[in-house]
Amino acid sequence: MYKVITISDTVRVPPSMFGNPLKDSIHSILVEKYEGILDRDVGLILSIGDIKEIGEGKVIYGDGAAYHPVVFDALCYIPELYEVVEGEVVDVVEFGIFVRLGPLDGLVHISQIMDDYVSYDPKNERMVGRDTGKVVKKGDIVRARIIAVSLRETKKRGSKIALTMRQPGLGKLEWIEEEKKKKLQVVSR
Amino acid sequence: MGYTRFEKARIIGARSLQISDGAYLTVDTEKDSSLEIAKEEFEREKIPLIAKPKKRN
Amino acid sequence: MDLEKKLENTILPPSIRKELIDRITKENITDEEIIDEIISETVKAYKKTLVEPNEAVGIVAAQSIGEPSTQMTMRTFHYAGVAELNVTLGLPRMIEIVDARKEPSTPIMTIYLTEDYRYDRNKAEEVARNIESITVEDIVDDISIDLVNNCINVILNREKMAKRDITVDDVVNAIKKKMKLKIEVDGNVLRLIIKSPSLRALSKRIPKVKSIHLKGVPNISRIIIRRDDTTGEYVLYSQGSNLREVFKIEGVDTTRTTTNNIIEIQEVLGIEAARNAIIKEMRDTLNQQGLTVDIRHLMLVADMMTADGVVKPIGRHGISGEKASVLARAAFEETVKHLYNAAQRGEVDRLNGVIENIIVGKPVSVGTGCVDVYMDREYEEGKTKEREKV
Repeated sequence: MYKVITISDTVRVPPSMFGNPLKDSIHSILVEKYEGILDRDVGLILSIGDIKEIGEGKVIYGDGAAYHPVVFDALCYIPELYEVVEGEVVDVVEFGIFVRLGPLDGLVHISQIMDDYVSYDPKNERMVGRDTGKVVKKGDIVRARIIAVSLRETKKRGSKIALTMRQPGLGKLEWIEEEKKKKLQVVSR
Repeated sequence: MGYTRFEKARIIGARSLQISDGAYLTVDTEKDSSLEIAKEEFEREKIPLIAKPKKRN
Repeated sequence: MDLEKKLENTILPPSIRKELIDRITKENITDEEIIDEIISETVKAYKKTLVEPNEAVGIVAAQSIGEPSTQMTMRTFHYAGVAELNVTLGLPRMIEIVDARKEPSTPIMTIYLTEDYRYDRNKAEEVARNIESITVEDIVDDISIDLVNNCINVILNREKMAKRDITVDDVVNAIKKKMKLKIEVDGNVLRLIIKSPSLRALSKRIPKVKSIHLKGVPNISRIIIRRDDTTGEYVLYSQGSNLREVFKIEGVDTTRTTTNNIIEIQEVLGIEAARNAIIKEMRDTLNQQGLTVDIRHLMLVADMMTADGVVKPIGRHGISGEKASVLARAAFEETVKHLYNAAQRGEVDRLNGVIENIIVGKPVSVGTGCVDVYMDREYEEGKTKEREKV
């Protein structure tokens, strides 16, 4: 889920940056400091938004820089447990498929792709259902639900998001359409 | 001016450090020591620092 | 007066203003210009003596008293002071003052006399006689155990008694008041008979009999009369101190009479008097050793000791032991005790003092440490720069 959060922090403006509009200086320092940071509580910080407050710049001992207390908005993405997400399949591997959720990728394990026996087709890099013949390949848009989140603050790569598509209303978008049609037919009959 | 010698020392010291760290000057000067420049700025009341009594906890 | 008006708007305190006016009128200076210059120079000199805000006055005072005190130790501990009286002086006396002892090791009173008494030696002696404490011991030839009659024999000295104006009845009554025993009078001999006499019981009572107070002010064992050569008046110096009782004696000038027992001064005259006494005693002790310490250091010490309305010692049981900060107390003495107690009570340290901040490694709240510096926003945004360019 994407969120705009308000953060208050103290920003160190070095003397070499004096003379420029304070908002710009602080913005660039905040971009440097925050963007791309992964936090367990707020998720991935994507962008620094509006700077709401800039307090008086205090000069502390042993440093010529001005320390400003600031309050600012930041856009972040946090994968929330049981959240339904949609995304493109970016990779198909032996044990499952990777889905791009936006800033982060999630994994649908091979056992969680559909209610069928699924096997990996290495030649065409795709997943095939044995009985239904349903196919998932790179570039497909799928809908899935987040079932486990493990965010590692140190490395972006170390974070793991587990997804499932084995629930009603989940799966490749085409399958969902088909399900809907089938249901309509049953109702009209 | 109404500064105590402690305020004066603190202001000139902080300003000198800023100048040596690349802050732009408020006076035209030939001096090449950050401390001397800070002193001159102080004398001409051009130091862009404000001294306030410390807040108690 | 014209001068007063001129001084009205200066920062000079009233005492200096008065002194300045006195001097100018005394020297007969009338030139307006010179007077103005004198005043401005005085103001300049006065400002120089002022302590700046955030100055570490406590540390300066400690050093200014401590350094001369180290020089005192090298000299004698006791010194023959006023006349034949032995007075504790030097470092031991300084320690005594600062520790706020209940009683100094050599209590001494300086007793001034009222207008009617102070210029006449005989009258001064009369007052001295009234003050000087007389015990049984002072008027007897001998006190001994009479093993034949199983009693204590007190042999009175008639001559001594007459000199001090004491009758046999006075002695008998005084002893009867203090002790439970029968007294038989036989000429100059008093027989003290107790209920169950034994050698031990009798000898146990002898010192008690000797110390029974008959006349005068208790605690004052000796008085010395001296003439002050500058004023020509007679002043009494007493060994032992009892301010409250001495004040009741006829002929004593209660406005000037004093003691070196600071706690007694606090009890009789109040805390402000005690503060002044601390300052005076410390200054006199230092001066006696030929050391000069600025009085403001001593005033600071006296202020710290009396600020609570009671004279507190400096040290574990006083100022240092009552500090608000846990860390400051723990840093002084009994570290573990203070930390345990603080933990038990959930005490909070606000880190306002100097000691606490040294412990935690922050800048101390003294001198430059008391100044917070902030950037000028206009400069930081470069607004002043642009204005200059234009």
